[in-house]
Amino acid sequence: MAISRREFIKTSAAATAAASIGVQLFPGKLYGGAFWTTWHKSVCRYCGVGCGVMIGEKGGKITAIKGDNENTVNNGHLCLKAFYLNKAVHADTRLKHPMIRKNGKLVKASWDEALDLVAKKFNEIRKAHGGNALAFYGSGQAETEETYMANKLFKGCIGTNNVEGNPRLCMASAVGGYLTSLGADEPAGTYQDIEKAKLFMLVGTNTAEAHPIVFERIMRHKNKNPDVKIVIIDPRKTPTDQVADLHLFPKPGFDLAVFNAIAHILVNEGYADESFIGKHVFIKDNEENKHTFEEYKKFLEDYTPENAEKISGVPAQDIIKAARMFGKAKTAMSMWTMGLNQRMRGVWANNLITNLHLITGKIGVPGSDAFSLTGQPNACGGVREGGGLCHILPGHHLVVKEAHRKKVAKVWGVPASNIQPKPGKHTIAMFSALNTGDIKGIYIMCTNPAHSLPNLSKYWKGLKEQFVVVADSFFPTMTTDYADVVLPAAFWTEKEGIYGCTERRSQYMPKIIDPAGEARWDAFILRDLGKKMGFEKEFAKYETAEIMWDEYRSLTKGKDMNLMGASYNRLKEVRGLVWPVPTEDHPGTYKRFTDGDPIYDALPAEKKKGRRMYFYGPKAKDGKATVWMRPHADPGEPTDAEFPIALTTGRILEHWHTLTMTGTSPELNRAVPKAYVEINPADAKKMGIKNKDQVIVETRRGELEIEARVIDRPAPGTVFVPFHWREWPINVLCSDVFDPGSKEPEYKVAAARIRKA
Amino acid sequence: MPIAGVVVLTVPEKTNEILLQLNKIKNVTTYGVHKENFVVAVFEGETPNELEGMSDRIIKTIPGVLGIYPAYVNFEDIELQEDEEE
Amino acid sequence: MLNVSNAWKIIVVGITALVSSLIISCAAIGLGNKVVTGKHIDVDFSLSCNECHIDVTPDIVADWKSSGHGRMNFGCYICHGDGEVEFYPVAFTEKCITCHSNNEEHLSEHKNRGCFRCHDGHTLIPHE
Repeated sequence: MAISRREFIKTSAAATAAASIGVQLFPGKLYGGAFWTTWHKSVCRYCGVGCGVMIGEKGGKITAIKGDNENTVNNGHLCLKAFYLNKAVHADTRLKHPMIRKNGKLVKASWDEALDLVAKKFNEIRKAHGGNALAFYGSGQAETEETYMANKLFKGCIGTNNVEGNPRLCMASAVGGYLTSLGADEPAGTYQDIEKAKLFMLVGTNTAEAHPIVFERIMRHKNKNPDVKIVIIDPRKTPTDQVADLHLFPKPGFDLAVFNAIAHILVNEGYADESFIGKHVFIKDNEENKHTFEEYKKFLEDYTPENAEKISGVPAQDIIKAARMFGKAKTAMSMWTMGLNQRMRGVWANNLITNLHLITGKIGVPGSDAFSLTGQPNACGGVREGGGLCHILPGHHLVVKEAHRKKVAKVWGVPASNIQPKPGKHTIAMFSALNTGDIKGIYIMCTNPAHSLPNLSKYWKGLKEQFVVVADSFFPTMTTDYADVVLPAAFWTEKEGIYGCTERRSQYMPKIIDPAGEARWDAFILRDLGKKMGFEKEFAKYETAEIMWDEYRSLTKGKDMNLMGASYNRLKEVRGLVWPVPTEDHPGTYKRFTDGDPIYDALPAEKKKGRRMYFYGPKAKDGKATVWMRPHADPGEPTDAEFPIALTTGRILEHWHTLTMTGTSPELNRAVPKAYVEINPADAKKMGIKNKDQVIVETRRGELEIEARVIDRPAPGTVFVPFHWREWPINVLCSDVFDPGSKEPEYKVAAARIRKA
Repeated sequence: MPIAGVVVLTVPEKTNEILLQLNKIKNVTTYGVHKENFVVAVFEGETPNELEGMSDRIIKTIPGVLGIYPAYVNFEDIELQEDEEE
Repeated sequence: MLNVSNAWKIIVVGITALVSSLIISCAAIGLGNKVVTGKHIDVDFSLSCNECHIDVTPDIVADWKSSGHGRMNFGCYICHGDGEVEFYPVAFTEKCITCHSNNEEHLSEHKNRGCFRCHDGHTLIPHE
């Protein structure tokens, strides 16, 4: 029965008054539950930390977000961005119906019309040019189930390994680092190590702004324990410096020598744990030849602190200090993120940091770990574990291995021959192939590459020329500008699914409200597209998210990332589970490769004899990790006389990626309304630039007019620009040279010059 | 036209009597006695001052009322909205 | 420049009554928890809060900087709104609890009197 507006308000007023004395005036779901906020356990939508959130729903709307007290990741705390997530859910910029480009303009269309068109175009392309003329570009923000559906459609049915995602731009180097150093992807430890660590080495991470809750845990721990020390290695001073005991400022891209120099001191001053090395580690050079510890020592002779100073600009004394702090500390945790990963030698940089832990034995014990921080909420879960890149399959399987292809194809119910034995095109190759026309159709899900790729303007051509489908929750974005078909996707809180965060923790997110307008869940959009493309039988069974998760989970059985114990029923109750979690009664694993890890515990005694860790990962031999003799390498585009300044980019606290979400909050827009270039006061003085002057930042790829912020943050010779705004697309200026191993581009270093506008 | 949701705190032995008194006042709707001596009520008025005056008057004239605590006030122009809905 | 809304006047009645009746259990009421909205004076809203307030209210900015919020760079808007679309001249507990939900128990131990009864608004240091 309808009630008048006045009645409604009166009842609300009475209910609120009663609530203030702890009385529920209208128990149950009176008037559609419009009066009571019901709270739902979920996970934050932003970075890779994986904070637990409680989502408040009232009258069919998401009205409030608060931290989840019971979640061990954040203990009830949240950063700024999460606080305003409800505004993104109900933003005016939510895309509510499908659109098709007609006569150059995107116009409203029905779901059938849109999906029929995509299916027809994709099938035409496939027929005329083969499956490899199609591609999928996904996201570390997509749920595991969503990426799983995409993988099956493209790799298993269409028959192309051109399946990539933005994690390629984010943590591919960390994957390469872990696989080559420890033999298995993802860290050995968890956040629990933070409160046990005596030293933190933060390298290429502005933890305070990019991973605020991790920073908060570090800060609290240090405040309680003044003997805890923090060393930062970064070309830029950031808010993270508030807790730093020592800061090393290498020239952007010149830090590899510093890491080797730290190892040099550790080895020469007796901090190496030779017994650990002897039992747990191989020492190898770039050609994978094995070496002795003495040979490694000899290799390090080139990297005296003085030599490293010449290369990196970091004073030798500071390098010695940092090394001694690392060596003396009983336990040490290093953390890094894009400053190491987005580099032409990102994998090597990752290896060199892990080396420090392996040569001192500071790994596999509480408080010690080489811990990579991830940028997106499901880069680890959905893409690294879910197989959302061109060379991998779900559950840590590889496309190059026949047995893996057969196993996955069987679960998918497709012929094994459908899955190509060669990796597809990695991200930069994929967008290059759109430019050349080798790829003629692409499906982009939950990401905004026309804003976020490096050397950005180079890749607009292909997006303009080829058939582009974009599934997104928000509109417009720079990528929808190039779309031929736009599909409205259900957003966080409008769908259920799993996110897996930095510390190997998989967490469940419930569907709380119905999708905005006609929006649909991405996994169902892909499933239905698959059916329309003729794979009716292959996609018939996926009625629920749980069916998808269970099928995916079955592929992890017996793998290092065993998720068999992480059923929906269980995940709905607990605050996530940290794999390996082989059975429903297993609590999850705090430390891998050592006591308490079910895979380690199950190893025969003779394998573990005389050692405390066994690196059982797919890339490790004899249970040993690898210390790599990686030489120093310069960045792809070092500064020179013509372009004398190093440009580096990154995130700020208040905004995230391309602003589709944080841009919906007036508060966050007020906090930082526009982009700027941070210039060191010494540089500014030399160039005659004052604070708030308009300046032109220029690289070999383009120039950008932007406001100067003269501030003692970047080291002299370095400037920093945040990448969030479409009005100031700094990525146009970034270099797209990439790491030959991880294929991750070097966003973090470009040679630039600056003049007044 | 403002609407306020309030809690009226009363001396326990007079609570029921106060409830009856409140029911007699025009523009006051009550929603029962809770936690022994609290009455939940909604005040409606033409102006915010009227609500304030009403509250003041009740405290002064009804014996046993210890305090009136607004928890929610709505100022939206309901008449206009009702017209639009029709 | 505060435009104290009418809601506030009504709440003031509540406060007066509270003070006069000491037996009251104010756990229920949550004074200092109420939302007071207002209008920020007309300024150049293309700027962030800090760009002006560092000159206009330097003491407040300094207090804030010294606080946990300042150290984490959680700006003015977190309690006061963006100033243009929403503006809360007086911060209120409901907003605190969104981030500090693990302090709900602590708040109820203090009879839900509102965070700012004890914590200074900008330094956030508890005062007597």
